[in-house]
Amino acid sequence: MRLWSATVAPLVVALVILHGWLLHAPDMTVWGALRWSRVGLEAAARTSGRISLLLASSLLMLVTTHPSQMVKALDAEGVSPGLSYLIASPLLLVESFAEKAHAIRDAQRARGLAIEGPLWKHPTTLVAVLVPLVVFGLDDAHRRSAALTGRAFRALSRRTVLGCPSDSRHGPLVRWLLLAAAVLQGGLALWH
Amino acid sequence: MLVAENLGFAYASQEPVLAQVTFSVAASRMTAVVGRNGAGKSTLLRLCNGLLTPSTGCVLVDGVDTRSVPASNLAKVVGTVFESPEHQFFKAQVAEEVSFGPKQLGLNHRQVTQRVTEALARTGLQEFASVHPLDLDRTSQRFVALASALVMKPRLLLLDEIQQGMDALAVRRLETLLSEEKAAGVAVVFVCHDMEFVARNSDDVLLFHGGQLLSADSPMVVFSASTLLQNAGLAAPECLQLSSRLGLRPALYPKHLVVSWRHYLSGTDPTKSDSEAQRERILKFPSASKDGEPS
Amino acid sequence: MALIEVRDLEFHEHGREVLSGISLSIEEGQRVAILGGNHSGKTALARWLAGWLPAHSTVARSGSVTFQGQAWSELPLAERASAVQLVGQVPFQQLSGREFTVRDEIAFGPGNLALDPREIHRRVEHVMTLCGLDSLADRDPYTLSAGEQQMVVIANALAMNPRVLVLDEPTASLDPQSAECVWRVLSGLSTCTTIVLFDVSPRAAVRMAHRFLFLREGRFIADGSAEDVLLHPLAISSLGLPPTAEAAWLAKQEQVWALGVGTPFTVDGAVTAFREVERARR
Repeated sequence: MRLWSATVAPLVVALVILHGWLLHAPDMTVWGALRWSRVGLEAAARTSGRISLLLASSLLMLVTTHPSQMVKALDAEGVSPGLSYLIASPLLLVESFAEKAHAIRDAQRARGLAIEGPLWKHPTTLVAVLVPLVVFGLDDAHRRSAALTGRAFRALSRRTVLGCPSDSRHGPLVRWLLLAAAVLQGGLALWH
Repeated sequence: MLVAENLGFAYASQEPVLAQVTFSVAASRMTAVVGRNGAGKSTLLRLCNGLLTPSTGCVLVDGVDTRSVPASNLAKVVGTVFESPEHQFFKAQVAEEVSFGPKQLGLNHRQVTQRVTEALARTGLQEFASVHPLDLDRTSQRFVALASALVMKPRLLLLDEIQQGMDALAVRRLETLLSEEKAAGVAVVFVCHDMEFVARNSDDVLLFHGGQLLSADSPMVVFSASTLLQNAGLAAPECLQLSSRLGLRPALYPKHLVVSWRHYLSGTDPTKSDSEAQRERILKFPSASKDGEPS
Repeated sequence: MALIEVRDLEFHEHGREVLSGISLSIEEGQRVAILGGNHSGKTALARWLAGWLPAHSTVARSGSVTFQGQAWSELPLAERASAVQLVGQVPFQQLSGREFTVRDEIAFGPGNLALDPREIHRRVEHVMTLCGLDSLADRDPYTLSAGEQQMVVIANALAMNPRVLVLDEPTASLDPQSAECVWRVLSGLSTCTTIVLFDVSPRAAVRMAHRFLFLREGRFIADGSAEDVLLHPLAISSLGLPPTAEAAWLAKQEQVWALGVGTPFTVDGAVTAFREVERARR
């Protein structure tokens, strides 16, 4: 809830200011030093509502579904292992890359580069930190790819998954209903 | 050149990594820092080059408190070679990479070229001057990182596992370089897991365990303290182990072990000089052959 | 028939000759150490033995590498991975990057072979116990120390039940304690697993291997016992001598040795050898 509120609140405020005040609308009303538009505020509420719902559903999925479970479910359904790799690897490797960036920055400081404090304050020295990090990333991808091949990754069309999460009893029905509702809503929007 | 007084360090809200560490390293001395993983060795190096700020105590480099100047300023005096040399490479050629430091110092083109040429020659990298550093093998990359440090003419050189993965030829080249630096007055502090390398190259050894400095003395004294070594989870150099198990006079190096062995076999006093021992052998065994063995 | 047969292998990379005229037969159950200095071609040969075929665009090669008479390129990827596994120097780069626990990481390889879940479970539990990883089973592999990660990498390789395990300086980036754990596990493997160890130092090799080869500038210079290879002048120059062997060699020069006593390469071996010399001379 805190994360959702902290993310949504600034967006809502920005949308209210943008649609309700800054953008010109036919029903602008002056109220002291402020101007506001009812039509604009309604548009802001609609957009805020949609963004909030999208964010809430994404966060709900992230909070209730560990990435490992998602990866296993995708593998069990026969989805390309490459796709599940794309989901999992950033989550697993981001901390290691952050540590690497820190170590690279230290190495450059020890050579005389004055990059104390946040990097954005030293734009000209960014290249001294970014280049080794990017090269490390590319080299890592190349070596990891070889290691994955060595362990028969994508050698066969399907793989065996241990500890795969089982589907709930009504899960498939709910998913089909949601899909139907989405198609219906799309149809209604086109109709109007 | 380097003084640590009651040095202590802890990362935010964690157990101390180093506590109450006091030692000094003079110019023209090679000091090895040994200990198990997690003993605080790499943290110590980062405190000595100003990348980390002490939680307690202080580090003085050539009389300057590391807390009073940024790490980038200390780089004029302190050269560091980290365990992963590729962290610093961002130029397309070895020569450009090595010239980066002197350019930061504000040297003119002629001075930079002179220093870079000298550094590449000393580290055996002349033929790789135009090569991309990342196209080199790991050992050559370490020498590029070393050249990048030497080119700054530091007065304190900090090395983190620089000899790791090097073959015997490369190790000899490295040892020659370090001797030259020592002879030129540079203080060298190196973290090392290879006890043979430590035995051959260090004047002093700092033995760490659990963030504490257990011993700071000559290699023979530190490696002979078997209880301390055991507590620190380390093994003595092989010759010292062998001389101890054979009941010989302690020897760090093969040639000293063989001298002790020769005395042991001939029953002479190993504390005597070779000529005195020879005289003793002749007195004991008048018909002895040339090598002093009984005929 | 040899398990792995290399015939006149020649390999170039980026215009440079890396391997030349390499011929080698590795029999089942052998423990082979291929030692060489920097730039000797160890990693390239290790990859060839393991069937990690290089990208064609950077290669000019001749000769052949076969596994039980079949060229690597003729074997499907799944069979190659079951035949030979390679353990490299940097553990971080050998983890899959898609599994969140050590147990799942080890199960990743057998899973790619579409094995029965019970078989995978059996293999995973067995290698976890063998490698001392039971207490780390639910840990994120990327939060482990380098030594622990390398142990996971070895477990990954063993879980594939390979006929041959190729080790390319597996302890190069480890501290001595972690390296000792790795060597203890590797030394304890059943003789059914053929091991080929590539290293720059003879220290670990003398504990594990029965056959030694010295590789220099892409060519084999010596092939035989530890004494045959490690005392070769070029090998001494590139690899150095363990201090115990150097002490024995100096003792021979000083004529304080005894005929017939071999050169020791470990401390335990040296104690035995020196005592033997003492007995022979008294």
